[in-house]
Amino acid sequence: MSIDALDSGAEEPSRENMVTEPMDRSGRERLSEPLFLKNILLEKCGDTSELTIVIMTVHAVMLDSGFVLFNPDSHMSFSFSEQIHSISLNYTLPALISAKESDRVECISLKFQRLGHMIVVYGSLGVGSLVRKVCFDKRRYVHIVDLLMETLESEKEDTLSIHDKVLMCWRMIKDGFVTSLLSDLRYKAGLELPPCLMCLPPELTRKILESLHGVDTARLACVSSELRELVSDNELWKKKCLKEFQNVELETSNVDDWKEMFASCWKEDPLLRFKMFRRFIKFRELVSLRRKLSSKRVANHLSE
Amino acid sequence: MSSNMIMLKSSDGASFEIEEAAARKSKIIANMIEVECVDEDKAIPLQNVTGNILALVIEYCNKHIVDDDDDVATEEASEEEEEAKKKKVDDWEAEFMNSMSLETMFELLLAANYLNIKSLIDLVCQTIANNIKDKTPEEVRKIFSIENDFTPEEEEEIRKENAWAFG
Repeated sequence: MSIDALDSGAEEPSRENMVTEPMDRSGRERLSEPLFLKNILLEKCGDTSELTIVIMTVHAVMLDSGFVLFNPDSHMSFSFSEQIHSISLNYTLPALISAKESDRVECISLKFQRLGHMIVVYGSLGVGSLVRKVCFDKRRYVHIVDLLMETLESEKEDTLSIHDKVLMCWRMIKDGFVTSLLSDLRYKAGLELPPCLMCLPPELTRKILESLHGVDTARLACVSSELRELVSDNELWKKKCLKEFQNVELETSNVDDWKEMFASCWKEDPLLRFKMFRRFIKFRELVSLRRKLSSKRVANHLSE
Repeated sequence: MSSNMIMLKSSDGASFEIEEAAARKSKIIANMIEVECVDEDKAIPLQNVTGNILALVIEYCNKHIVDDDDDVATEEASEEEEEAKKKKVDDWEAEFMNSMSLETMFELLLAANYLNIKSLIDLVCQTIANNIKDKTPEEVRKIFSIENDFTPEEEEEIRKENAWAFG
């Protein structure tokens, strides 16, 4: 396999040396995600087809997470016509290229595929590995990017709201997709894992667990065996009981299993249960309502 | 107010100038200043914090030093004003945290822990907890890339054990 990718890696813009935002007094200012994306689109984008824009976006997030493009033909331009139905790109980490001389370099393979009005991106370490996936609604996403490209510095307020939308997409790609791939690759290559919930120092994990309501904590026990272990701490549940139910008798009573105590107090408190349940439902309604609204907005815009 | 400036240097070699009062938000740096191991024209090297993250930490410290000054200046502020001010800080913090990915959040949390900035640790922990709040186990797995390592039998048993938390 050619190591040309090293060169292309070095050419990739990094956030630090692309300065278009004014520096603040603390010195070097980090380029915000929307501006980073805009720069990449301006610089590298070969055309404005939907597929190209989605690929460039994922590319930008991959770069931001420390990946570099690793393709035999590294001089390709980012231009993908509307006729292409799927395209594959390989990414790796600079540390993996320099560590190995020639043999096989571990990499992540991304596959972009059209499916109706969606573009689905699959990512994995190769055959037999866990496949991660993220979906884009083409029209909706391209519309957001169009708005981003039209933003001007003079129109501050509009720019901010569009940047918010871009950020939401960015976080969806990064949190649910790219970070998982990064963990997969680093794990396979024996590198240190990126910071994640499960590898925080215990005192910090503990602090997060303490900030959660008992109901959320109990649900967390169902996620994995490690979390189940963390959540089974009796002292943690004692604190939650005393905080939530503020019952003086509780403080002095001798309880063996505080989690069980929490559960039984909880069952006896219909008002609290109702409140929490409503919050749970409300959250879900809000999400689906937001989805409906934004797709409606795009539809309106398109029909104008 | 002291307007002494000090220099901080990140692990990847970026230098940042920051007011001493803001830097004192970090107990570690405050300690270093106390025992006078800070040379006026030398930067304090922070081995465990990259430039990206240090920029965020400094943004946070600068913001909160301004707020603290306000508190001193308007000691007789009415309750309403206090509330409005608190809301302003809360809004700023929400906006600040909203702008970063989970990975950045974890890095920021580790940096705040290393630098010992209690209020920032609290803020990030609360934000991460908010990301867990009201989610199903499946959603939590997806958001935090956690693998489900239960056998189907184990999972059923655990779901039964915690059934009270599911509605």
